[in-house]
Amino acid sequence: MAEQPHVLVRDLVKTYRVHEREAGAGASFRSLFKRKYKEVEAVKGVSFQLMPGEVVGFLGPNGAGKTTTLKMLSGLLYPTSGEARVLGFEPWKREAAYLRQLSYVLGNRSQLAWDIPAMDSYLVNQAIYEIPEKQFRETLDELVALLDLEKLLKKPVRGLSLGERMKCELAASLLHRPQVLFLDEPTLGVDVTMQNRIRQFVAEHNRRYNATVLLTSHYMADVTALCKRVIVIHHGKLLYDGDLAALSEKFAPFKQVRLDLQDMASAERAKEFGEVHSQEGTKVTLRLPREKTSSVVARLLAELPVIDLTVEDPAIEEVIDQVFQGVEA
Amino acid sequence: MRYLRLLGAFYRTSIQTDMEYRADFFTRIIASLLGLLTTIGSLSVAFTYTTNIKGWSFSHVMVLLAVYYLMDGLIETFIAPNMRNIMAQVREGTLDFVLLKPVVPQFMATLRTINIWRIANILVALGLAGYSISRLSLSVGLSEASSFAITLLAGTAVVYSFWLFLVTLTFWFVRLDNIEQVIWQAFEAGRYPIEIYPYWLRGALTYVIPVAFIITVPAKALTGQLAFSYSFVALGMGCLSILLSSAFWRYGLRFYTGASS
Repeated sequence: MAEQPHVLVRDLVKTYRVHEREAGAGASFRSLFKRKYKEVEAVKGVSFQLMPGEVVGFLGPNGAGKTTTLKMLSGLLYPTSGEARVLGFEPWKREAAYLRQLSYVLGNRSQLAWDIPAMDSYLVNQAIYEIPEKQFRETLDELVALLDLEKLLKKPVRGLSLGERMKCELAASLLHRPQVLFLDEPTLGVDVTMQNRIRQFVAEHNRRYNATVLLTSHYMADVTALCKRVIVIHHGKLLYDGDLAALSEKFAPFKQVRLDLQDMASAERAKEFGEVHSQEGTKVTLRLPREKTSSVVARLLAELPVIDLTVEDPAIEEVIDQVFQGVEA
Repeated sequence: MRYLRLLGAFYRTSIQTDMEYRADFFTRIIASLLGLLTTIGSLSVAFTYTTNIKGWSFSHVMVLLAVYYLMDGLIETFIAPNMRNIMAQVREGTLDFVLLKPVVPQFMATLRTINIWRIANILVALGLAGYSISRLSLSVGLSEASSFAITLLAGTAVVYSFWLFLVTLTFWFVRLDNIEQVIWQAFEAGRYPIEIYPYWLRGALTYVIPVAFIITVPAKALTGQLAFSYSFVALGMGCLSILLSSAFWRYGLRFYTGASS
């Protein structure tokens, strides 16, 4: 029997009504009585599916509609039109049976009470999610070991660093072992070591409980470390849904060739072989169309005094940038 | 049963928080004693010229004052901290975390914390009530006590509902910091017998902002001036106000999540 998707989204649309006001005191005064509204389409018909256990990157520039989509999927926003099913539930009905299996982590906001140790907030969550004592202890022990929380749980949350707080936050969101996890910028403002820790941890949770994860992040390293598949949206529309690796083939049909040459004269000559990406003295990086790469490389090696040459895919950041610029043009 | 356990967990954590600020308890006691003494002082000046004001004797007014402080303590302990939280949560967007939990949102939003040191006000008020009743040499029997408890509960329900109604407005207007001012200004009017106010104000304080209902009625119940059957009317009004404000809150939530447009 075929597996049912955990997340199913079809033609999801969200239009906000935004109160519009001109600058100036007179206009502010008028707007007290007569308000002008503008319709803003945040999400314009997005469709996709996630299978159980998938970890998918959800990419797009600021204002692309990522958070709006995640909020609809977690039942915080009612869509203007379209359908969504998560674990078979319609999210915006906010049925307890659904909310029990879901977690939505927002990197810039905290569900933990500020003045008390994280552990006390965990106990409240235990009561809210009705987690049996044995399971609670087991999960907590796992989380403490994985995230190295031992020393943090007893301190009031306000005394923790941003990264420490994020770890406690993640643990709070996972105590009830959610089947579906929406992570909205989980590594925002956290240092590199901690970012790594959080990534490993998300991967581990996914592996252990076969949880489905949809992740947005501005750090491409999060995405490349965790996601095989990415969904890209821009201006509320779906641009790409597929393999992360194939993304570069589709949107950046070129390779980068790094060259180190013996002298400046040959460096100058090398620049005639393709589009120059960057240059530092005798080190030149060229951008070549995929299909021509091998023949050009052969010619470079034959005609120029090359010390070193490497061929690579462009950095994922550049590909994404390319994707969004392509759409603007 | 499940919700009782939840309430236990909520209160346990907020009491733990407050334990860090133990000194608060004593400052609260001193503050409410001072407030009480100044009010009693000015009242006793008024009563040197007369033995009763519109049918209220000095000791009866003291009972009223005790109920006023009791209600004040109940509000500050159980209701106000939550309502303030909701307003902050709407502003900061953290109300989302309440909506993400598999719990009735109103329950979690309005009963999440208590301000335990405000119990000080309640203790002081109970002391004053006991003292004034002994001065009146009234015997408070079962019927007075239960009628008092019922009307007090109904009054608390009305305050809760009134505040919840105003807080729900923040779903549309986001910033409404003056709500508390409105509530407390009206509430202060309740420390004196409703009969001393001009006719029109008495109407407003009974029906628009039912301060008379939440303070005068329980005070009358305690001193045996209220027909027992009226406490059931009060209970009915309390329940009705909860029903109406909950309905409005749910409607507001639909707006908050965009379900109503």
